[in-house]
Amino acid sequence: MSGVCEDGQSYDTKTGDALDEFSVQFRSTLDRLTSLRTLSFILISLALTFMMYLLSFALTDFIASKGYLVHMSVSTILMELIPILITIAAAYVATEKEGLLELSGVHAIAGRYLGAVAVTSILMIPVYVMIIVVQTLHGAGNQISSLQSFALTVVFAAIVTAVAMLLNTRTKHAFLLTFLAVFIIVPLFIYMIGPATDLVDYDVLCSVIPVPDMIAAVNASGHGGITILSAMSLVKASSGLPLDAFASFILFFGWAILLFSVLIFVTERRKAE
Amino acid sequence: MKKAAVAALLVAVLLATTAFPMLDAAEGNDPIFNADSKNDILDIVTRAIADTSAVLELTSDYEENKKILMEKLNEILKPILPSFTIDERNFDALASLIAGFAPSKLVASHFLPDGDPTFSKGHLNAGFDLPQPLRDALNIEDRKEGSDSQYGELGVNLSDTISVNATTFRDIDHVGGMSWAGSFLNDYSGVIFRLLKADNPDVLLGKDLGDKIIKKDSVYRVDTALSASIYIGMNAEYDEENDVLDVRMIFKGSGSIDERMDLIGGQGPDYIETNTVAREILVDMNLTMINPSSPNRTLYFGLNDFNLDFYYGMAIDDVYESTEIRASGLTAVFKGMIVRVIGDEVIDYQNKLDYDQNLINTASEGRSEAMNKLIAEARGNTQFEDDSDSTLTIVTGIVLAVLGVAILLVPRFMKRS
Repeated sequence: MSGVCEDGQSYDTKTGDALDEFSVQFRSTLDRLTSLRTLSFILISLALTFMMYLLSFALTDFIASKGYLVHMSVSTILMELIPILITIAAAYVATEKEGLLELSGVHAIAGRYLGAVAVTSILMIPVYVMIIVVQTLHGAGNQISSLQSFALTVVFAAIVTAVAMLLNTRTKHAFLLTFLAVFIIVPLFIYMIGPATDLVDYDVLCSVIPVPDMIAAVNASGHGGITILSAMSLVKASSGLPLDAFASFILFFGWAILLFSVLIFVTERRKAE
Repeated sequence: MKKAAVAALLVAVLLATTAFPMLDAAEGNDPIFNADSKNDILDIVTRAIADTSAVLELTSDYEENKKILMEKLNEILKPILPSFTIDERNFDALASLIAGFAPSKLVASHFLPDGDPTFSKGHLNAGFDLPQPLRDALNIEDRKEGSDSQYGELGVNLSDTISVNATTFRDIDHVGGMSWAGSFLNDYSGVIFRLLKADNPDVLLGKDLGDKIIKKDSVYRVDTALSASIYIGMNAEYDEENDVLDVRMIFKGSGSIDERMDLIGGQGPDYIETNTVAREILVDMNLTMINPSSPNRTLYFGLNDFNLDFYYGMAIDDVYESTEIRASGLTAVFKGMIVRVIGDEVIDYQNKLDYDQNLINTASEGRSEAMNKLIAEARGNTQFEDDSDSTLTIVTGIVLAVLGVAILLVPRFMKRS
């Protein structure tokens, strides 16, 4: 026997509607996979990845020719490239092109959110493949731990998607703001309250807040600890799941859950107002 | 049509991704990159060399000697590893390997630095039992009377290349016999560096420095996460007047190492005091470890002063057994340098573990007891992780997730109630 909600609808009906909302949003977001713009993104990201490899080899040779003891690892550049590509993809897929995110209801938001995370993750697959292909062609073998890297990519996409959607509830410029937030505002803030003021160690901060590590870049690269870029653990060639990668995963997952919850909260609050 | 094309593309990509593990596994087919402990190139090479009674006619010309040695090595290895060729890129690492594992058979001539081998204050005692022709070629003198060295002495000037700052190091203030040993270990999570007295492994060296770098009863992890250059310089000068050896250690790093150790520009108590008695030694060398964002965090390692420059395309795995410096014995022993010649820079970690263990076992022979203990301790600490950081991260992640769920659910529960 079906129960009855406060608004008089049966629970079954309400559940069905909610699932419909979820399904509609999820599918419509997935449809973006087939857009021309997405296809262009795939091609451009593949080209960029390939070019980064060429660039890194050229830089390595150049630096070596100068006699410096610096080896410009391919992964160093990729570590910067991958999160940027993820952010582009997530911010594009998750946000409205010209307008605010006007979704209402947990299920609709969840549908859009999960769809966006899925699309973003799928879009990164060709990039990973390209990396492996180029590495193999170059004779360096496969340097990446694929499953681990991809798992971390998904949770990173989850964070960025939540940020983008959250921003899109307030501003039409969510795409740009997501970039600023992820790559400039948050890292700068972290840096200001951390190393710049000598209050908290940067590594400790990076252990709790995923921050793209551009500030600490020294020599060919820099990496202060567990940051967003360790999500691109691309750079780890290990067969198991090392503790720091596992920790990264948990941390990113936690942030994604929190941001998603805040997104729901903000949306509902706005609706109530 | 467009959708079908994109879908086909994605399916193809997805299928390709399933090949990831296969690609990983396929690496194992390459004896160079992923050999197991039995057929690893290191084993192969060392065994081959050990089985070879090669006599090389070397000259005093470094480059010429290098060519001769390369040629000989290729000749030895060709039947065993037809796909592997020793060339300019991997020669140095391999040569040091040879020096470590087969000292009596072949020794790379590159231990003779370029330039005029003048040496004013003392000698570096190179711990290689070299065949006489090679000793002659390398200008290695016989052990001097009164020297504690059990080896011949390599009369070369090694004092010109130190460039890192030594200003913060304290002079020796008292005399006493002491030995010290350094060990450099790394795994995928970083480098372990410890110093201890070789003759008393329970005593860690350097109070202030020790506080920073060496934590007693623990293995300090220098997180070389993605980029780090560590410069570890050991500088010793013989004070003729007082008959005292001034041994100074220089640590200098960049990247994350700096941040962790506060070693930039001499910040922090980056000096170590030690003392020893010496009569005729001047060890002045610059030991550089570089981890240039290596995906597998393999360290690149070089002893500049010995022309062991194998930053490029070379790597030393996990265990650095190369630096056992016994100052009290007036010997600077570079032995058991564990080098894995891996072509470009690929190591499969799982294989690496087995491989390393094998190396450790192999390299144990002839290693000092203190060093063995050090290695054993380090290996016992399997993860080398900075657990506190990871724990903090995990706890933070869980707390955030719980908080998120609470934000999501609590208003609903309140609404219902």
